[in-house]
Amino acid sequence: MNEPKIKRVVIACGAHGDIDIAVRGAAVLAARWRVPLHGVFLMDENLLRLAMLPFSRHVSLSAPELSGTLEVDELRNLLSALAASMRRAIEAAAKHEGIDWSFAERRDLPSAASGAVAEGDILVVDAGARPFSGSWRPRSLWEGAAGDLGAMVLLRRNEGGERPCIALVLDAGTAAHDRVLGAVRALAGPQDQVHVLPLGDLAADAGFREAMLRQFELASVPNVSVEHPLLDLADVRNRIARLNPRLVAIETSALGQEGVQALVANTWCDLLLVGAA
Amino acid sequence: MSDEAVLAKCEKPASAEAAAAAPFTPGRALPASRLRSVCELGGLAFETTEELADLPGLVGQERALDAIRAGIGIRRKGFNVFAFGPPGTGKHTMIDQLLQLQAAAAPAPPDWCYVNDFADPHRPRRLILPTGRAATLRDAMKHLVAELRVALPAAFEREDYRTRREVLDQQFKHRHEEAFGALQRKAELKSIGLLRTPMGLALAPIRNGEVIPPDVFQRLPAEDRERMRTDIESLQAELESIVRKIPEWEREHRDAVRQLNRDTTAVVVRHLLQAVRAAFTDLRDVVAYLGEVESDILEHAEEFTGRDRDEPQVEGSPAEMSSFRRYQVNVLVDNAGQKGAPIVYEDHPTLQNLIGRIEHFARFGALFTDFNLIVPGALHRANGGYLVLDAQRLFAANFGWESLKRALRSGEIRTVSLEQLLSLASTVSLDPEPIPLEVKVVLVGSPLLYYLLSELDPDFPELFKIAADFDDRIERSAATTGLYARLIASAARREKLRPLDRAAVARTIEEAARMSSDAAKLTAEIRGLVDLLQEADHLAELAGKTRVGAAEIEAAIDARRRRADRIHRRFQEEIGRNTLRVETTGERIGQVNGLSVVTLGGVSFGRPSRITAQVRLGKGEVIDIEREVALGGPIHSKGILILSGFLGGRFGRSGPLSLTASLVFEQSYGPVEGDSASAAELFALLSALSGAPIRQSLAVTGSVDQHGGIQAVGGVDAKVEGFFDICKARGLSGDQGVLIPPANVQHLMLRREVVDAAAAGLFSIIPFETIDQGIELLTGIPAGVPDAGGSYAEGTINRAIAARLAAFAQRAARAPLPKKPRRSRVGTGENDE
Repeated sequence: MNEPKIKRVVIACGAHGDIDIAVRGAAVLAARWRVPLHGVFLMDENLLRLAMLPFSRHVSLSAPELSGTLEVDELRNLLSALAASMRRAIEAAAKHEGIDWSFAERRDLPSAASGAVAEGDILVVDAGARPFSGSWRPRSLWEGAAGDLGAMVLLRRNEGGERPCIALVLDAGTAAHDRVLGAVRALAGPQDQVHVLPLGDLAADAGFREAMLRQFELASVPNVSVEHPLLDLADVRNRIARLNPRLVAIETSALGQEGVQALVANTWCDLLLVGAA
Repeated sequence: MSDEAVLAKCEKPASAEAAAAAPFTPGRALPASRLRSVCELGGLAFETTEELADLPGLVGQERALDAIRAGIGIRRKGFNVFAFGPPGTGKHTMIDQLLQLQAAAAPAPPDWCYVNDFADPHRPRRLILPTGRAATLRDAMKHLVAELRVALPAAFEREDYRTRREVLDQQFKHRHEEAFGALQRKAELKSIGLLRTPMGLALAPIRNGEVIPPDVFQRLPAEDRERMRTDIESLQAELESIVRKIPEWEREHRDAVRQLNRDTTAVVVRHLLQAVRAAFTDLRDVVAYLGEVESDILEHAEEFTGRDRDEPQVEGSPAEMSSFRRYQVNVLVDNAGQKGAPIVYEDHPTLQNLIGRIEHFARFGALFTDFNLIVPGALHRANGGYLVLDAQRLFAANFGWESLKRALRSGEIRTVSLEQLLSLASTVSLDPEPIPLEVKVVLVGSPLLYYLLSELDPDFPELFKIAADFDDRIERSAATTGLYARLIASAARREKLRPLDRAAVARTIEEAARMSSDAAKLTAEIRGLVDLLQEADHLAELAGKTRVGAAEIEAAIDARRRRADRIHRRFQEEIGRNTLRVETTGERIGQVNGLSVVTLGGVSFGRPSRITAQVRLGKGEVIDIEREVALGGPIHSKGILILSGFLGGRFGRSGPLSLTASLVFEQSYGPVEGDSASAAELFALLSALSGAPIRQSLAVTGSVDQHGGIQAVGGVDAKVEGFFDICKARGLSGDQGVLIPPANVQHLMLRREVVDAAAAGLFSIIPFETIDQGIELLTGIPAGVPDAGGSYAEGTINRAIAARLAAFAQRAARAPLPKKPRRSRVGTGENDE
C-alpha cells in the first residue's frame, strides 16, 4: 500500500487574512504526526497591480463607509503587517505544540505552490466564512487553486464541531485510493464513524467492502461503513448533507475540477482534497 | 439533721403572721420568735408536692402578666413589650406560656418567597402565598425547569424544526450568493474580477486570470480605459449597495430564526406551564409571575437548547446561573407545618440574623449573588407572630437594635447588607422588594436597660409602649404561701425532681423569704430556688430517698453557703487571729463595733469593723477619714453630714462647736458606702466626747436622722450573723448582741443557730429607736434629758458631752484658731465657716 508520508504541514497564508482556524488544526496535526509546521505567505502581485491602477478602490465588507482608494504603499504595508502577524501566530502555535516551524513569503501562487506543495506536504487552507459576509465569501487564491495543486489540501472551515463522522468519497477510476485512505486513517480517531461513499462501479467490486474494513481496522478505526454506490455529484452532495460529517475526504479526480469546486462551494465541513501523486 | 429535728426547731420561731403580730419593746432584746418567721407546716395541706397541681404562671407578678397580655393582645403599631425584672424571676417562662396561648388561637401566617424580577433582576420581587403553598410553587418551578431542559432540546432536535431551520439558513445563504454571485458574474462578463484584499473587496480588470498590469493598462485605448473605469465604478456601487444590505439580511435572518425558536419553544413551554398555572389560578400575583416566566423563556429559548451559544456553559458559571436559577423560587418563609402564629426566639440578634442577609458565592475569583441567595432573618420567620429577644444581646449585637427599630418603624423588612447600610461598598448588589411586617416583639431585659432606653432613645417609647415590670419579691401571706408551694411543685415536676415533702416545701419557702431579705416577702427569683431544689434532689438521690425532705433542703442550703463563704471565712479567721481587730468583750471609749455587708460575686456576708472617733479642739468639723482618702462614697458622706447635723442641733444651739472630730472604719482598706453605720459612727463620737466607754460585746447597725431617730438599713440578717459568727467563735457569753433599727425587725430571717442562741439567752438582737436609747444600751449610762434651761442632769452622757464642748469653746475663745479652708471636710452646719 502506498501510505502517504506526511513530512510537513503547510499553512496557506495570504491577503484573505484568515488563518486562525487553519493554524489551530494544522498545529495539532503536525504535533500528532511529529512533523514541522510551515507557513507560506502569498504577497499576491495581483493586488499590488490593482493598487497601481488609477481607479482602484476597495469596498469594506464591514461598512461601505470605510471603503476607499487602494494605495500601493498602504497595501504593501498592510500585506507586510499581515505576514508578520501570521508568522507570529504560526510561531506561537508551533511553540505551544512543541514542534519546529518555518515561514516564507512568495510573490505569486505558482511560486508559492511550488515551494509549498512538495511531496509529503499537506496544505492547510483556511476556508472559514467570515461572519460579516454571511455565507458568501470570495474565495482566496489558495482555495481557487485547491483542486489543481495535485497534492493533499485540507480546507478548514469554521463550522468546526467535533462530530465523530467522516465521509470518504472514492471512485473506481482514480489512482489515489491509497493516498486518500492513508490520509483519512491519519486524520481519523478511534471514535470516528467513517462512511465510505463509493462512486460508480467501485461498489460492484466484491472485495472492496472487506478491503476497506480491513484497512481501517489496521488503523484502529473500527467504525467503518461502506455505503451503497452513489450515482453522481448531486447524489454525493445529498448524502453528505444528510451525514453532516466533520470531514469529507475526496480524490479530486473522482469528481473533476468542476465537481470539486461545486463541493467546495456547497459544503460547510472540512474538506480533504487529495490529488494523484 | 433529721427531718424531725428540723421540724422541732421550727417550733421555736413564729410563723410569718405570728411573727409580724408579736409585739416587741425597743431597748429590749427581741424574743426568738421575732428573729425568724417560719413556714407553719399546718398551713401546708399536703404530704408531698405530687398532690399539688401545677401553677400556670407566677406568684405575685400579676401586674407584669397583665401588661404582657395587653401587649400581645393589642394588634396595633408600637404595642410591643419590654419585659424587665431581676434575672431568674421566670420572665422567659411566663412570656413563653402567654405567647403560646395567644399564638395557638391565631392562624398560621402566609408563606413568603422571592422570585426574579425579569425586568430588573437587581430588585428581586416578593410573592405572598397562602400557608404551605410556597413550597408547592418552588417544586413546580424546579420541575418545570428540569422538564424544559429536556423537552426544549428535544423540540429543537426534531425533524420539523431542523427542516424549517435549514430552510431559513438556505434562504439566507442563497440571498448572499445570489447577490454576490450575480455581481461576480456580471463583472466576469466585463472581464472584471472580484478580489479579496486585506481591507475588503476590490474590483479589477482581468486578463488571462490576472489583473492587468498598470503599464499594459496605460497602453490601452482611452475608450477602453474609460469603459473599464465606468464598469468598475458601476460595479463598485452595486457591491457597496449589497454590502449595505448585509446587516439587514443578517438581522432578518436572526429575527426569522428567533421567531422560529419562539414558536418551537412556545408549544413546549405553554404545555408545561399549563400544569403549573392550573395549580395557582386563584393567586393573581403568581399567575402574573408565570406569565413573565413564559415570556422570558420564549425570549431565551436558546439557553435551554445550547444552540447559538458562543461558549459552553460551565456548571455554576455566571452564565449558567443566570440561565436557569432565575426561574427558581426562593422560599423565604414556609409555614407549611406551622400550627398557629410563630414564636421565634433569636439568641444572636445581629442585623443579619434579624433582617436576613444576601449571601454570595465565589466563582472564578469573583463573587456572585442572586435572589436565591437571600436568607431570611428572625423577623421574616416571626412575621405574623411573635419575636422574643434578649435586650442585652440585642444591644451587644452590631446594629441589631437599629435594624429592629427600622423594621418596626417602617412596618417592613428590608434586607440590606451591613456594607450597604454603612455605604461602605458601591458594588452592584441586590435590593430585594421589602416584605410587609406584622410582628409583636417582646424584649426581655433589665430594669436599668429599660430606664436608660426610656430616657435616651426617643424611638423607644414609640415602639415599645408596654412595660412589663417583674417584681423581685412577692408578699408573703397564707394565700401566697400556698401558691408558692404549687410553684415549687411545678418546678420540681418540670425539672423531673423527686417530690418534696411538706417539711421540705416549708423549709424552701423560708429560704425564699431569706433570699428576699425580708421575712414578710418571698423571692421572685425562681431560678435560684430551682437550683436549690436540684441540689437537694441530688442529695436525696445520694441518700437513696424517694422524696426530698427538709434535711436535704437544709443540707443544700448549708452546702451552698459553704461553697460561697471562702472570703467570709478568711475574714472570720483574720478576726479570730486578731489580725483584724474586733473586740467582743470589755469597754472602749470612742470605739464601737459597726457592721457592714460585703458583696462579692453575688455572695453577701456581714463584716464587723471597729469604728473609732477622736475629738480635739477645732472649728466644728467632723472629718470623715474614709472620704479624705477617697474611700467613702457619697451616701456615707451624707450619713456623716447628718450626724454632724445632729451634733450641732443638740449641742450647738447656744454657740459654735469648737471641736474637730475624726471618724474612721479601722482596718478597712476598700470603699465604704451607705449610711447604715451612721448611728455607730455617732455612738463612737458621743463616746469620745463624753468619755463614756462602749460595751464591745455589742455591735450596731442603723442610720440616724438629724434628730437622733434610728432608720432602717439593708442586709440586716447578714450583719447580725456576721457579728454572731465572731462571737460564737470566741464563745457566746450572753452579753453579746446587735443593736438594730426597730424597722428592721420585720425583715429578720436569721439562721437557725442565731435564733437558737437567742432563745437560749446567749445572744441578743435589740431594737433601738433613738440615739439616746442606743448610747444607754452601749454604755449603761443614761443619756439624759435636757431640763427647761437646756441643761442635762449630772451623770448623764449628754451632760458630759456638753461639758466637754464647753471646755473646747473656752479654750478656743482664749486662743482662736487660724482660718484655714478645708475642701473635703464636712462641718456641723451652724459652725461652718
